[in-house]
Amino acid sequence: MRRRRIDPDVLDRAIGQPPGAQEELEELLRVSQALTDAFQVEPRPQAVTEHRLAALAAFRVPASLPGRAARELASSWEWLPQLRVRALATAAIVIGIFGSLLAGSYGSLPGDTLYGVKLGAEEVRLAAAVDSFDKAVVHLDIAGARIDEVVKAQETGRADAMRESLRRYSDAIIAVETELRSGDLTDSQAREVLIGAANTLEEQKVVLEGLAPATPAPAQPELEDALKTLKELEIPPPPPPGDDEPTPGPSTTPTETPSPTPSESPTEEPSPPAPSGSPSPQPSESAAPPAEPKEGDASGAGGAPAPNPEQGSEAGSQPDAAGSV
Amino acid sequence: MAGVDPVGELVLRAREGDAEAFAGLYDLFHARLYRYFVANVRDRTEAEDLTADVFVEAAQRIRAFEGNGPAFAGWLFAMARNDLADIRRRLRRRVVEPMAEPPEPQMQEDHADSVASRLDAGSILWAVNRLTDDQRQIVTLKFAGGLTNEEISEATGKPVTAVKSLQHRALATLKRLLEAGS
Repeated sequence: MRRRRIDPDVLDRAIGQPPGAQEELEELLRVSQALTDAFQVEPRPQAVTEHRLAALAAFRVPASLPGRAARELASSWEWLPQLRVRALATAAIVIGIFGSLLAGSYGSLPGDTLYGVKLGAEEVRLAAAVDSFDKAVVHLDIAGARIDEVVKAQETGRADAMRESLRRYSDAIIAVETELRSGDLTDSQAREVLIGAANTLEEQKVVLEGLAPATPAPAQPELEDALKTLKELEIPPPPPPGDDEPTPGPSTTPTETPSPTPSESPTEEPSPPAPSGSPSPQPSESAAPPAEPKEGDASGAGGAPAPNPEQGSEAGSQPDAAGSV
Repeated sequence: MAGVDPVGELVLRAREGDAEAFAGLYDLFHARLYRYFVANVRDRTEAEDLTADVFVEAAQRIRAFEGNGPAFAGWLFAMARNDLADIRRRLRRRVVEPMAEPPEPQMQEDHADSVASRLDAGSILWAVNRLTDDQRQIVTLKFAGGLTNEEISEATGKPVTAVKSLQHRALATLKRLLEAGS
């Protein structure tokens, strides 16, 4: 375990004190060190990654969205908690060792000196992923990073970097598809992952389509290729909810907004889940259930007395639960 | 790389909408924020939730944040302090003990002089729980959150001199409490 150093201010105070105070200060220093040690608790790696992605989802939400909508978007990442500890622990070690270098590489683009560091860190995460589930999640995160690069490259007029990132983006989403189709997912995991992945890919598609008009000509082929790849992806449909799931009601009866078209039958469209990042809260047209509301958000939902199977679980935020230091 | 403030760099880029820069800030501050919450609410699950909430809030507001690296730490922990204050208000309304009490320290007969003998985590937390609110905040920001005095000053709105003074008094009180045993 890494120890932080004692506060220099405390040390400063120890210097030049009269002899009688020396002992007292040594005691205070010992108390300081003990405090530092007592608080050296580490978060669960799985929570670190889950919350990291939630925070990034919130970061990508347009600033005009109210907080609650951002939280809902963030909650669409709740399918990640099962992410394996080993992968994250390894990544954490790497980040710890190469922290400053990595910090510098976060915003790098293809062609930048530190871009290789960024790719290397991604490779480490992939290598540490233990199964298809983990790998799909990591590839999806990598695809998100490529999208960020594409946006940045376009803003800075770096067509070459944009092309490279788009190529890598296509590779990443194909890898997502490959892992998701590898078939070794359990039903409950598969449902959460597939819904989450479909939402994310749909959001990425919206971003890429938005970039199209301003994309420099040299990068147009790669952009078109990426969009084509996205459209051709064959993400397996999520399995139906298991017996143990509360079945939040994926459009069994479209209560509030009856569809103007009488056709209830599922058409031949693959019907990917609607993008959850849409600023206006439109009713979902897809077969996928909407992101489940977070417990803490229930109060801001407008007070509709609709039956909520999760209503009773608010006690989760009580501080007297297990797990104290 | 000398003279470069990596946090300041990341803050600057995150303000401009660079998601990876924000991810970098998350990586740098997540564990520290989490420790701060654990030190104050004791429940690790709740500490995780609170940490996540602060980062979601930070993600939404960072574009409007005007400040450098040290100011960012203060800004982030100020949000954390506000969340804690909300929790305490809520708990008071429910008439629940503000914080779970760690077990009282075991008396150790053989070590008359030794603060050191009482410096196990349980004793420390027990003693921290007996500090004044201000002192406890300073101590947890400092030793759990790993903030510098300047950053604590940003987070609490107190002058650095007041931070130092509170810190010194808190340490002295802790020492006294630990010496006194229970």
